[in-house]
Amino acid sequence: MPALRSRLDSFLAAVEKRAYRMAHLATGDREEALDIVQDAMLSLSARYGDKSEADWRPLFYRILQNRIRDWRRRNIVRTRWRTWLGFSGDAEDRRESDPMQQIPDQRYRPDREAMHGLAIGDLDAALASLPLRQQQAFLLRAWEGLTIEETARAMRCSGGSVKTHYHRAIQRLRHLLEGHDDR
Amino acid sequence: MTDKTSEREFVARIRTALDQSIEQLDPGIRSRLRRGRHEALARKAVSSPRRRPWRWGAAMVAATAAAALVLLVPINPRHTQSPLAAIDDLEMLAASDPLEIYEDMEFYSWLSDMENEIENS
Repeated sequence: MPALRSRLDSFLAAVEKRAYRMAHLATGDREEALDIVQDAMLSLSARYGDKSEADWRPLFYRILQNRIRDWRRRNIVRTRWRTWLGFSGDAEDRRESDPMQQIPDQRYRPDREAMHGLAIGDLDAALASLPLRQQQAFLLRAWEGLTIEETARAMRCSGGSVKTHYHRAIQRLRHLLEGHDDR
Repeated sequence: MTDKTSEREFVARIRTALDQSIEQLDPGIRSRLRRGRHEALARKAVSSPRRRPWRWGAAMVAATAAAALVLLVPINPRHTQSPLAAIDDLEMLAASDPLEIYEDMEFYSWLSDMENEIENS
């Protein structure tokens, strides 16, 4: 069905870059982020492409957030196993434990990209330092513009949890980026 | 300026910065995303759902083991993880749902949410 394929293509083209940025902020890794986004696109088009077009966006973000959460779970377990087995890859361990180090320093060139007083490198580091649930709630609500209900469905939690995660994310980001008191 | 207004302005600045950042994405990444999209669309026709109910049990065992690992294995002192992040991690590990169940469940839970919403409205 060419018309459906064309609409799906337009939809995915419209969300893929934001999805990549969200996945990249969560994983700190370009290849992992690309894999997650491709997997989410594949799942949406293969399984839900023939559903109502109005449902694509929230469904896509639900799939994307699930994939990110799965990646994080696997990563936590892998890190704990390595700790348990006594493996000490010093440089890599430090990189994994320090969110500031998870932001590649080549692509965004923060020295050249101060935006409205907000350097994207600083912003990325602040967003990457948030706990995953806060990061997800903030990006879905503030950037993607999902409602509380849509965000709750994407994150598989209650609307109350979304509000709490979002509020904490704002407090933390203001503290990190503006020196605003987050107490 | 009220705190609420300054919060809105703060969020708007972040949104603008993020919007501009995607305009400046590396051409290599743009190209990979485009290829991934085309591949996803091309594979749409040949995909079919897989049902593997045994994975529910395996997933619960795996989630329990993962959560136990996190609780029992002391954190490397070099890993300066905040208490909030640790709770976040534990919450995710305790969830027993494996990747594969989303293949079938995402849409059913979505439908269920939508039905509840309609009933409540």
